[in-house]
Amino acid sequence: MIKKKIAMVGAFAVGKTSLVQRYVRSIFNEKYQTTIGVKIDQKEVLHNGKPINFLIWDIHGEDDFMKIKPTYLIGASAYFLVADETRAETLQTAVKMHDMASAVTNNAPFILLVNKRDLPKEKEITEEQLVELSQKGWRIIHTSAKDGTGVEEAFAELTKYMMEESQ
Amino acid sequence: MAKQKTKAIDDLLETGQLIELREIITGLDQVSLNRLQKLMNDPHEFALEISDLLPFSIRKLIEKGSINMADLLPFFEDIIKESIQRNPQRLANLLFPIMGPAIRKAVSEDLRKMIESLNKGLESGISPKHLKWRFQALFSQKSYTEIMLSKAYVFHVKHIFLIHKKTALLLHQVTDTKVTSIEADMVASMLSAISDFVKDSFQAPASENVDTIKIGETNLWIEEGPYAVIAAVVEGNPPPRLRQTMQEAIEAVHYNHRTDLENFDGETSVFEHAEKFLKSCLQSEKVEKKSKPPYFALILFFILLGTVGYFLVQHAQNKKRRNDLIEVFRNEPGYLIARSTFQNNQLVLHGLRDALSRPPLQLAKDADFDPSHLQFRFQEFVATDSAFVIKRANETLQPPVNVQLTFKEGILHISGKADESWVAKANANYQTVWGVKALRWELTQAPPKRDLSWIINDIEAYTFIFEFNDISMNAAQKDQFEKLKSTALLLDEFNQTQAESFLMQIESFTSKAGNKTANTKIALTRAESFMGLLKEAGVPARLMEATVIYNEDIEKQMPVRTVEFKVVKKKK
Repeated sequence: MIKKKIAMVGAFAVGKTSLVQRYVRSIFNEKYQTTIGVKIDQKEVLHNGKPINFLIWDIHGEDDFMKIKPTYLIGASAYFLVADETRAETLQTAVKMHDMASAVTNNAPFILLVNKRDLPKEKEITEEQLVELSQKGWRIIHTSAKDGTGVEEAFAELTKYMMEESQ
Repeated sequence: MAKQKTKAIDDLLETGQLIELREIITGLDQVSLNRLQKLMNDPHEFALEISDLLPFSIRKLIEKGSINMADLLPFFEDIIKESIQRNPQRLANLLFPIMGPAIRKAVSEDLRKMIESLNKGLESGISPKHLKWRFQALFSQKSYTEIMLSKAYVFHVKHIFLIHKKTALLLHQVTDTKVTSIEADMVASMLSAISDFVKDSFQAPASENVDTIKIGETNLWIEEGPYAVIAAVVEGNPPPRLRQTMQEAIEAVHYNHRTDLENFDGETSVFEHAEKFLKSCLQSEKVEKKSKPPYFALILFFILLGTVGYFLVQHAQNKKRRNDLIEVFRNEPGYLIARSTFQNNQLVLHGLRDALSRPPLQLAKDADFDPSHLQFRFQEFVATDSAFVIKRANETLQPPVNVQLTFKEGILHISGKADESWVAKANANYQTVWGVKALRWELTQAPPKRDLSWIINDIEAYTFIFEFNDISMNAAQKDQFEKLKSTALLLDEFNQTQAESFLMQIESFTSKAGNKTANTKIALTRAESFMGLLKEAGVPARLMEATVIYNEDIEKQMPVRTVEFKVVKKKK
């Protein structure tokens, strides 16, 4: 059995937990995020017919009151950066976190998930910003925690990156 | 000239004469020369060649005294110092498998000394439990401390997790088959997160780790190695030796899987081979339950049985004593016990008591019954027992010392010697004595004259009315009959003592109307039958006479089938 630690990081209230809630097995309450700053869930995916067990470290969203602990990212094989499409500052936070996460994880593969696609509110993150990041080599997927758009795709793609990396 | 010399050498080589000449001079063939040349030209090859000889040479040099060990020490110390300065973790990782046992040995030696000291201190324990352990130590050849500590540890290791330190991923787990499995992957990762959180929060140095987490009766013991940790979920109170077992297990895992741990990329199947090390930590210890007889329960049972038995016996004895006392009162003259109750631990007797009877408390005392457990609720009555009648007669008549009183069937018999005045007084007062109907004088001196008038009046006062052709009597009539009999006997006695010949006529009333002869016959039969009854009761026949009275012959009309009595002087 192959096991991988992956992390979900992003600004506060970008929908990290909601995004994966329907797709993971969970035994821990969300209160752990506000107490020790992380909640761990589990998800099994198939890659080339082989099961891979993901331990997902759903790390508390960074805000003015709580900074994420870099130690939680140590040993992660990949990570998701999550931003809220209706709040521009969450993309800046994601970029900032990427710098830290990349250093801690020794340039582990990652995917930027631009969440809340389903909300009718005005989008503050522009296509230009995303194109600019794409050009830097970032993989970006639009997701919706409400209807599950893009979530399975994100996991599948991250798995592919990870396995390529380890080979 | 030079050309000629070269040509001469070539000729020699062609013929092999030069090689032959070189072998003669040096004693070496071409192969050996080539090898020597290679050693000289290639340092690596040269080092390899002398590597086998060098340790031997150094040893020989030391033995010869050419090299002093003290001269070598600074050299090696500098090497180690340099290595530590460059990368201390590397040396620490290398030494880890041997440091554990070395440290344990040192610690266990100190611990042994400490236990010896503790043993001496504990010698003073004198509680029953300590005394029991002391006896066990005496008979089991173990130290007292060992016994004491073994009693203190009752535990059960339920899960053992092998966790990769860097990724917090579960590498392998072993679980006691008797416990339900848990989400080990998530628990292992969360455990690492909590450990990181605690270390970050308290800014603990990297070398210090969370080694124990306690939740009620459940303990989480963590033992760290450079690349992996072992976490044990233990129920109860584990002994320190479990920690030592865990240390040995993590050392064994690192020794056997160092490369796997260093290069871990998520593949955990290789760590299945570590299961044997982890299983050594799955220990448990239970309180011994020997199948010895349940002495304590038996003792308790017998105590309970004894207590219950004691109370039952007490209850039975008390009940018997109460019944015996009731029987005493029932048999005591002057008492009539109607019922008895038991209230507030007291026996309550309800009934009648003659004032002349013995005091009830005296009776209880004589029966050895505690009066504090006794209550009396008696109403007064007059007893007709002869003893009480005699008592009352003594009180009322106050007879002289030479007079004896006896009482039977309403007659007070007076015997002995008495003067005339007392006899007169007794005749005047005896009717006030309850139960005495008449006196019978049995004095040895001349008896006083009987009171004939009372006898006659008494006999003539009785009337019996019967059914036709039937002289059976009801209860009231029987009572009357008895009294009549007694008075009739007095009359007989009067006749005997006074030489008189009074006769008691039994009069049966009838009528001349109708068949007079038949009526007369029936009436006479009734009178004779009644006379027969009196005879049967002891009244002499000489005293009685049956007669028939016709209503037509008398003024007062009497109901037919009536029997009356009349006392007349017998005709001589």
